[in-house]
Amino acid sequence: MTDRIPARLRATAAAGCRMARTSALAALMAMATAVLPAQAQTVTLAQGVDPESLDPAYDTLISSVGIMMNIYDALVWRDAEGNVVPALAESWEFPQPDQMLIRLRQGVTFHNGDPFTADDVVFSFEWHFNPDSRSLLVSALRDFVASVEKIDDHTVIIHMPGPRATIVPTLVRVPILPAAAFAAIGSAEFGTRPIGTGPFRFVEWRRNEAIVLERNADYWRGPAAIERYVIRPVPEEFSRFASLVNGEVDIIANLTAERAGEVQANAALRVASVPSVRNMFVGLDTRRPPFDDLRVRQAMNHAVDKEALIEVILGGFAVENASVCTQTLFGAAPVEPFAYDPDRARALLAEAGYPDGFSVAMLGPVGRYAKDKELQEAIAGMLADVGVQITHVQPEWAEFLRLWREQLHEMLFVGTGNQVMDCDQHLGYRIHGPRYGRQYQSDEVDALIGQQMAEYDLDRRKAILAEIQQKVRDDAPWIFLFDNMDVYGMSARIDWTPRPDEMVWAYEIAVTD
Amino acid sequence: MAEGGPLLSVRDLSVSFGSGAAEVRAVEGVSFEIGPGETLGLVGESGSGKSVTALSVPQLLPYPHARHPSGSIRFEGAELVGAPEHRLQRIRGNRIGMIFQEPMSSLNPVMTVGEQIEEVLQAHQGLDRPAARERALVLLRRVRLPEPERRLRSYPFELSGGQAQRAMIAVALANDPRLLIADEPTTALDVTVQAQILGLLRELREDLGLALMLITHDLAIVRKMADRVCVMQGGRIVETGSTAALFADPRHPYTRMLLAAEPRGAPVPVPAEAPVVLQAEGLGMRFPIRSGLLRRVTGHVQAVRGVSLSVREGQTVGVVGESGSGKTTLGRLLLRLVDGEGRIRFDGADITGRPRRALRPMRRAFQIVFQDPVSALSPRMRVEEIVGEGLRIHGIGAPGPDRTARIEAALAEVGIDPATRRRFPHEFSGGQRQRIAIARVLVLKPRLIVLDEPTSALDRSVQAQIVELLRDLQARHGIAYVFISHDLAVVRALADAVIVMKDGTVVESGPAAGLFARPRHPYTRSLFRAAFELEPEPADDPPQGGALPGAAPGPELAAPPQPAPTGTEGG
Amino acid sequence: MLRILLFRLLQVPVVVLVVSFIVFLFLTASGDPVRLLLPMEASDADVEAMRRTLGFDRPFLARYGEFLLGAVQGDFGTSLRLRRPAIDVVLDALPATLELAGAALLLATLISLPLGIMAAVRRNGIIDWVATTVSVLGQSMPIFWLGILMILLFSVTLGWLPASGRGHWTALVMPAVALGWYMNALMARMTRTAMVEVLGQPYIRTARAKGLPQRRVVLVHAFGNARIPILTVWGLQAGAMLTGTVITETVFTWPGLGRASIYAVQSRDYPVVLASIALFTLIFLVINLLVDLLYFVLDPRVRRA
Repeated sequence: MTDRIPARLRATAAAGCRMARTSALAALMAMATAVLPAQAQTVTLAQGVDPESLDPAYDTLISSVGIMMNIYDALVWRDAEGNVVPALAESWEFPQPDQMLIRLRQGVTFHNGDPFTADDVVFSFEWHFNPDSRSLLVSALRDFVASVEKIDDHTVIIHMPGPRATIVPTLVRVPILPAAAFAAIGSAEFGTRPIGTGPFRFVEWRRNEAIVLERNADYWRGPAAIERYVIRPVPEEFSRFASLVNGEVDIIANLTAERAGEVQANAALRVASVPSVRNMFVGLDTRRPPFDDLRVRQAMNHAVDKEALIEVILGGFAVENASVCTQTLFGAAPVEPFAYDPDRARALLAEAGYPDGFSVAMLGPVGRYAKDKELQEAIAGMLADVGVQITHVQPEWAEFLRLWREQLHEMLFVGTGNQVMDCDQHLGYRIHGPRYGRQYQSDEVDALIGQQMAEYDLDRRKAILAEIQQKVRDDAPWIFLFDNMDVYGMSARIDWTPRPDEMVWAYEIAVTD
Repeated sequence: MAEGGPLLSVRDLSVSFGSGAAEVRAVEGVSFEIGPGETLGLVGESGSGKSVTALSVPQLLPYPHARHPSGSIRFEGAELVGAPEHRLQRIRGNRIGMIFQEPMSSLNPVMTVGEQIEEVLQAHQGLDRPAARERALVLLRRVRLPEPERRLRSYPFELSGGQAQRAMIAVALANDPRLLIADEPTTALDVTVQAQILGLLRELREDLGLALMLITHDLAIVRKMADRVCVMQGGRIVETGSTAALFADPRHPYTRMLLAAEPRGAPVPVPAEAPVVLQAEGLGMRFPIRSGLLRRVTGHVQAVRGVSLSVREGQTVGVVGESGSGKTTLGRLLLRLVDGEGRIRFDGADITGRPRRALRPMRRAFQIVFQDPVSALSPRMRVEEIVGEGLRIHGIGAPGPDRTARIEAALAEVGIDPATRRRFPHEFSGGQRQRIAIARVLVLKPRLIVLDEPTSALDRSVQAQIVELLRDLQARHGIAYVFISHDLAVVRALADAVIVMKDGTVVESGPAAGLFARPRHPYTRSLFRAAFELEPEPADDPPQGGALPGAAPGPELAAPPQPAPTGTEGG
Repeated sequence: MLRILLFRLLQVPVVVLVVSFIVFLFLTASGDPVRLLLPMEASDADVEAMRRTLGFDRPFLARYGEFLLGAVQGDFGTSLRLRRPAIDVVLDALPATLELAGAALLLATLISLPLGIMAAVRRNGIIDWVATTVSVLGQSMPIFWLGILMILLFSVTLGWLPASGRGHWTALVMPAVALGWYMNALMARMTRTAMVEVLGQPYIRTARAKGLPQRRVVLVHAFGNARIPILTVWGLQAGAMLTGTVITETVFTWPGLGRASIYAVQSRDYPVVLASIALFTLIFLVINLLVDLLYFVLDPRVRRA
């Protein structure tokens, strides 16, 4: 703090030491007031975890990517509503169905002063395909990008393995790195002191304590409203809440429903929420009894009271959704939910030959999603009501992932997120593609998914996606639950609206006094 | 302080502990005086209130748990009862010195002897470290601690009992007190050491003109040391008078009982044709000494070496020796509780090499009774369980009425009312507990009992009763005893034959009558002299009298005259 | 003394060997670090490729052997998550933990000893009552619960102390109190018991009979002896305190070894787990060694034996 106190004030403070105790105190208070406006320009976010690296190839956790996107720009970006907007790519077109030609923004410089050119774009993509990067993103990228070709300093062409309608939003996932600086610093070091073209430059990273970013005055969009952006990892939900009340941090992520009421009641604080990209559901193994029978799957959907789950357990912070796609995504279509009707459920079960119900095991993680344990127990209670007895298998996340792959359990409580904010990615995760556990198989749906992947016309693509969602809903391969909401608590002086993509982009934050 | 008046005057002193219904009156209306240079003996058995009286003088009782409902204690003319703590602190350790029964535990185990003497000098005389150290050295010489320079830096655990008590005396005398209170100062010590310490006290008393308040249960000590005696019983002084008069003509029945309680009687002769129960030859036991980084055995301590003995039916063999002489180890070797060298024949059968398991059936025939009846009896077991345990282990008698009958018979025989068999040990007195311990082995009808200091923890009057009991049981059942004791008076009253042990070996052995009458070995002689005559003995502790060059002793510490033999007082 | 020292030093590799094997086994048997590492859309081929890159395709014993070989040279491998040497990850987190544990240890010692001593000297008095209350509370309140309670009071309600973080000394207060709380309670009780026991010893009577001031009787004579059993408990607790750092560091967002290791366990980052366990073990043994040395200083019977 001392380094930001003007010399004049430091002199005052030194003089204060020679004064009587009371006047020394007065001098200190005067000093504090003098410093306050500068502090007001710092905004601190508390989130659950510290990133592992700030190299986009290393760390694909959404909480880490959220920090990176304040330092880097991608070729395209999303506005506050989730719509794709140009970023380092000024414009683009598709000369061939499997080629995307991109004209790059000119006059942009990296934080170290290097100009941004096509070489940086080529490098940023190639780095993921370089085995040395051990990129965690490569498996996702490989499906979309075959190679990146430099045409001139400000033009590149992305060659795709085939027509890929969602290539544009996918580009958000590839932050642009400075090729020359990266080579000079080395891959091991770069992730600990990154350089980008983004709205904030990197200042310091004290592991597990704080990452400090500073406003990039030369940002091509114009400088951010705030001077400093600090991200602190605070894993304990209660500690985040306390730090917010205490004024140590300005924004906290993953506020729980219980705490939200307390934050709301505090005049200095406020709660902001937004439907997120995450959809929660209970997977049913459609390949074997009892869930190979559509009537049983329908019965399961009718047996669960989604509204009660949302209101009672999640405090209203969720949106019922019977579509495979989260409603915030491009292409999401509203479909009619299954009404809560236990009598109907019992009748369907009886019809399917299970008048007395049956017993199955449900695998679900604990401590991964908001109220995951409580939700699983409530669902089990509702199912017991219609005669379906649930045995819980509730390991922590690492063990959950292992068991998930083994597919021993008939039911699976889990959620899917979305990094490109397009319905297609959800379909890839849950139906088509290298997903975990192929528990639902529909040739018709698979065909439609293939069709929309090649459809560059947005309206026509939307129509196909809507058809898919209706079909999946009718096939009921899951108990459709709800879309999550991201809930933030923040100081009342913070002017910021949460984004649906789970990221905090500090460029959008302003401070009111 | 009035010239010629008493140094200490105690009037109508009472002490109680606790309050209300739980109040216990420990001392009741006690009055006595001690003049300058005078020695008062305060005699009584345990629980008579003598130690509480002694601790009352410097007001060291645990107040406010302890109270003085009545009485006054005037020392050098000033009242001590209720005196403020800071005034008492100036008197304690300064005008009044104290020494206690257990010298080892009365010294702070983590401070050097030097520090413990120096601090009392620093506290009262305000001496600086070097001056205090110099004076401490003088004091250690004064109490004849060998190698005083080295002893200054020694810790209590590095001293023997006698050395520790000398150090304690040095602490007590550091500031030239006028009164020394000695609470059972020699009880925990071996007889020869006991004699030396008493000799030292007597000598210091005369040199320094000290008044001495000597608390003891041992009449022999009082007789040697005291000018006047107060006999205490049940918290009261029941008789008081000059030592000579009191011993010559005890008035109070309790005093007479105390005097009569010296173990008396002689063993019943054993017929020569009585069969040998136990015969041991060349018994030995070595403990390894380990040292160095790898704890290699670098030597051995020979606890017992080449001891042979035989015991006939109905015979008592006394094993006599001081602490560390190996007599307890010998007892354990005899019963094969530990394995060592030598051969042991029991009822003619060689049991030397037999495995432990094979010995088990024979165990009922040879038994052991330990010194401390408190720790030897499990506090959680009823008397009948304790006594019946051996029956159960050895499968003697049928469970139920048969065993109960045996238990009751054994209890009756040792003088315990069989009706009390369902009580717990803590409900009995020390003497009764030792009787129970004897009943526990008696119920097995053993051929031989090893008695390891069975009377040492008991008052004299109780000792005498236990000796009577043992003699009576022997006469009735023909049991052989190996009687291990440091107490020569008890051994003399009980043993037919005696072996005297020192440093693990037998220095002298033979029929008791002859040995007591004409001890031949110098060690035996010194032992007997110490026990029966209480003579100071220059055995392993040569006096270091004479003014010490370089030291600057105070006037009271001037070179003492050599102790004069006082052999005229009979034993 | 040299023997004890040597024994302790030999303990380090043995304990680390045994513990590391168990941890290695456990981490291998549950959860799959590669799956955790890769995003959901990773194909089986991607997973296999990463498995090969990290050497997870080789048999358990080969991997364990390789780990041991490296560990002997101070190389615990590379963190799967952070891609830095595992030993660097834990060493970076160590100062914060030492700072926290040191403060807690100091606090617990400085409060419990006077409290226990005064309680023993004035038995059944007010201070004795306070000490009893403190030890009952201390031994019945879990760290987590206590931490939340303190944050609620001192951060949320009163706003005196920061609820999280590290840097300013005020941030150290609550974590140190929470971590030291149990030890303080135990030590206060232990000190009282030891002092009561010692105060009943004959040499205390001797000290009083020497006319020494109460202060000297209590502090030099009584405490001089009582501190030996107290030291035993102190040593055990100082070691046990390390386990408490895991919870404390999470509640108070303290960037230390406890938090680093719990996160490593969750993400199956076994090189970091093993390195932190090795470090914990080492610290534990160093404390034991320190206690042994203190015995040597404080107890002449040990010194001269």
